[in-house]
Amino acid sequence: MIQMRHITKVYEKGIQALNDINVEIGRGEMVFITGPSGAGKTTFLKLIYAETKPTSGLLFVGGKNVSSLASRDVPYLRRRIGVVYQDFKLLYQKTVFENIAFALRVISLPSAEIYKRTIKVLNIVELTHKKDAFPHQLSGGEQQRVAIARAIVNDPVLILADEPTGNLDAGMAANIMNFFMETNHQGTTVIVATHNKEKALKMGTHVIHVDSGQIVG
Amino acid sequence: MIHPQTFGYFCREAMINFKRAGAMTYASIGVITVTLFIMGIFLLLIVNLRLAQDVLIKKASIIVYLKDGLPTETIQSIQTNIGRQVNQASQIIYVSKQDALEGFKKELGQQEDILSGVQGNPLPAYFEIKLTPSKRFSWERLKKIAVAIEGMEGIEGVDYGQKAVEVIGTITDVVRMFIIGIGFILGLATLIIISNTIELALFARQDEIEIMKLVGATPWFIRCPYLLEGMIHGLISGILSIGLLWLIYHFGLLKTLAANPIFLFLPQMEFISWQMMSILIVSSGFLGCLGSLLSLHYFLKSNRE
Repeated sequence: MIQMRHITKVYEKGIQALNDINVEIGRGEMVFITGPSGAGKTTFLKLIYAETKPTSGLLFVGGKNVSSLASRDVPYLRRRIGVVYQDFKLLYQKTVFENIAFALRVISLPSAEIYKRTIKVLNIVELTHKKDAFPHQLSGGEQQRVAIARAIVNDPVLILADEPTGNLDAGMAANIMNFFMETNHQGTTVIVATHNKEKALKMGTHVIHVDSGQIVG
Repeated sequence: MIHPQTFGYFCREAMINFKRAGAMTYASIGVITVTLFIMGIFLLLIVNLRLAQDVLIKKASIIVYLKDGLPTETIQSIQTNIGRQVNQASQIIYVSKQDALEGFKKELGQQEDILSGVQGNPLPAYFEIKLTPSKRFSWERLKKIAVAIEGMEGIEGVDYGQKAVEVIGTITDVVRMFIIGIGFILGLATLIIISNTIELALFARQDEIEIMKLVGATPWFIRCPYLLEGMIHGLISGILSIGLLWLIYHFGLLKTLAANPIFLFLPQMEFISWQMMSILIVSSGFLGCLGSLLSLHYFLKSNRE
């Protein structure tokens, strides 16, 4: 699914985020990227959804060379990737339903199809009864489930989550992790970045530990 | 080809932006309307100057004054030569010295006594050429004919209303230069105002745009509602400015002119043509789009380093 070959990322003013990263992530894997704040976890994910370009090295996502992807092809890459954030990134003036449908509307899907798919994912994240609520009327865990629903509504082959449980209490965090596990069981590749190495190790899956921009185990 | 559903989405989003900007939208439309209105006044001026010049040229006649004491054969040959210069439909009338004096006396009427102190006949004989100009008859053509006739033998002078036409011509040229200059400045102002308004709309929806990018919306999909909004700004301003111009023309200018007898000598006035109005509206819509595109360009610049 993902191949990184000697990936180095240096931001402006010489700030080095990643240094000579070599990683192979297979299709259908569940992977945790762990490491302290500023270790390069976010940059790792940003490279995959083409929010930033590597300074050097080669990056393949689903067989496509993303390191030299043209700007006009970026939207099409992102339609195959679902991204979930720590701060949810929901639109607060839109309802739960609209927030999820938004991801389909902007890729010009027909209305009937948008409705069908949105209802389906609302079911999966168990928020059908809250579909007309606004995000500020929901708990943190519920908001994150809306964000997950938006990420999976497009049937992505890959889900990236950047500290998805960082703002949640332990119970809700576990609940959210379960959603990712379930999605992974359906065959979707899931990559979760977290600073909590112990929890990641407990999940018993592929864990990549980064520190100061390098893989340390 | 844009799907009707997608187009509907663009229109809805544009209207949402429009409403959200509120006072800013009205302010920007107001300022652009005034800007275009000023442009419209100059267009109105140039249209009517051209009209005046046209009327003068179409009414033009050439008076060819002859030297005194020319033999009849010379006068006849001059008439033939003049006939070669103008088209067949034109009338060439010969007025002898005597006829000229009679005519002048008739014009003076009761004040004929003025001439009692004058010895002999001071008036020259002349040809009056009544031109029947074709539609494309121009000032240049008239001038060319007059100059050719003036060069003939036995001619004292030629009068073809050159002063009036030349003065109007000069004014028209100056106004035209002015329009180009001012049009550029006003166009730039419109562009900046619209661009700023759209930028505010973009800032207000920054999060939405970011999420759109993340879920794979193409840049054009993101841009369209804002381009539409800019275009609506321009179009509304264009239509309002023409409405304002028309009101001022009909209820201000024409009424004032009709009420003051000093303006009676002015030829018929005209409002700017449909074509010109369309051009004004379409170009303001285009400026709106362009303004939008400018702010979008800076806003959506990929931060993919």
